Amino acid sequence: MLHDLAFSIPEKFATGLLDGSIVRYGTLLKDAGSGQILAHIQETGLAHQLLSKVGLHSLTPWGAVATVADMASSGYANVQLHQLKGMVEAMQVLQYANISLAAAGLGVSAVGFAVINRRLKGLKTDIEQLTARMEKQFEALHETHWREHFSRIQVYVDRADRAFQLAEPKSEWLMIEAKLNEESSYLAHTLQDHLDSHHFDVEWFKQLTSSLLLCDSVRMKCLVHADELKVARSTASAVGMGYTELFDSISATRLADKMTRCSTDINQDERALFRKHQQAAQLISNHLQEVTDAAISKPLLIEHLIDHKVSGSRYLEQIAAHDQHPVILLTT
Amino acid sequence: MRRAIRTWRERWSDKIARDLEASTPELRRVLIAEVDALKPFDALRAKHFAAKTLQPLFADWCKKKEEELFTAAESDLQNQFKCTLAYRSTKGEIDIDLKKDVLLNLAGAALSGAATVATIPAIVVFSTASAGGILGLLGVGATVLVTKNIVIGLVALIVLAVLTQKRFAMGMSKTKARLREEIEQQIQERIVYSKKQPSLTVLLIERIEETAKKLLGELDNAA
Repeated sequence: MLHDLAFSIPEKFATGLLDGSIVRYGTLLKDAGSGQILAHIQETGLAHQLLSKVGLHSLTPWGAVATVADMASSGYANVQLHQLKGMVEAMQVLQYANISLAAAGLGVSAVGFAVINRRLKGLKTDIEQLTARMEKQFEALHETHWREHFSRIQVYVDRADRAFQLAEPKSEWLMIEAKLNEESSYLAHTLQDHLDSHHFDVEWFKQLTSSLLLCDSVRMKCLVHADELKVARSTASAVGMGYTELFDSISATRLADKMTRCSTDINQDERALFRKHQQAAQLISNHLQEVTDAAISKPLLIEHLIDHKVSGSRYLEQIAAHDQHPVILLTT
Repeated sequence: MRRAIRTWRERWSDKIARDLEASTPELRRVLIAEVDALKPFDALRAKHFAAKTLQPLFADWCKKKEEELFTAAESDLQNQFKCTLAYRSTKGEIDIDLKKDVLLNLAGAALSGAATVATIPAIVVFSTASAGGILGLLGVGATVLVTKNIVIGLVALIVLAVLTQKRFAMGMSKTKARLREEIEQQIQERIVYSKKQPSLTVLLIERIEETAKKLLGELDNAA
């Protein structure tokens, strides 16, 4: 399938990205002079495998910023180390600060439904623990029944995985997408409520954001698997607009202020604490901007697939099975 | 365009925080110079001195800083817009039904209007005088029990002050020290950061962020 599409590797554009003649916006590489799209960035199955091996929280935008030095000291086998170094270098060429993005939103997700469900299970456990800790401050959480929503999301993702065994899986995937759209909307509203409240818990916010991204990622996969690329394109646009609305208005200063006010650390000077929180809030804001930019540029990737009359399901199979490069570029 | 607005927001949030913190020594110097020149009569009325001399200087400095930073931020935003719009025009890429003037006017109007620091003089209260007051100047600590008779008569206090000139000098020195401490605390809390109330840094950055939010909203509405 990928043989029908022209694809390249990030290193090919390294010089242009370095001298500024090529700019990256979200998952697009554009000619700085003409504004023409040169390539679409797409993660592959290898990216997820590598991030899992190094122990980073893949499938979320919050993974640590890994360096080649970190990996060299991790004692991995030569082949793995070589691949990991290649991945870090590719992400550096593409000017991403966070390599976890390579398996959390670059193009259409290359990860299987079962893996996504395992990650969701982990997130549910994390959120459960965090909520228990926060219950006094966030009593409203009791009323939001987030556990039921999470259980439903997991059931739908599980059904999406089992749909492969159906004779006619398309209608099942379309039904799951519609259901997950409702759950995604619930998660987005819960996040917005949290951002609007006087309290702010960084970890809780991160886990819930990761859940939202996974939920939307599954929705896109369902539509692409069902070969409904036109619907996938309009859904991707709606998701991009939703992220813009939710994340673009995040004020790092207000977030840092809320974090400082909620802090129970009485030993540290409040100005020093605020500065520390400013840095953390800025990092959150930057990560979310990367995620938003990637979401905004996703409809153009799908349009590229439509223009080239590519089968969605075959495309997903191919990028999942790609084991040469963690990140590839679909050139126009 | 969206990226240009976000970049502007990041740049100015960072610049405002750095600039204000870096400028505080200048404000400190001005206020401390006034305290060093404190006259005995003013020392007797330290609260009045703080309200009439220190507070206006503090407020003027805040206002000047707001104007200086917002003028530069506004000009930078307009330049960003002009560059981005010019670029998009030459490439025939204006895909949003939005007149150039709308964004440029928004960029211009966004930071003007009601001054943020208008709220600053109201919240800046130098409370030094209440810490010791006249008795403090005379060397009588706040913890010392004072009879009603002593407190009642100002004349009696003045007589007492004359009689205890040495203690008065010590009191002056203590008042000045307290004012210096208060100035430092006020600068940190009102300019840099405080949990108690929004500092100038937070207020100005919030204005930048609000402006960016409005502009991004305009882009969404026009899309």
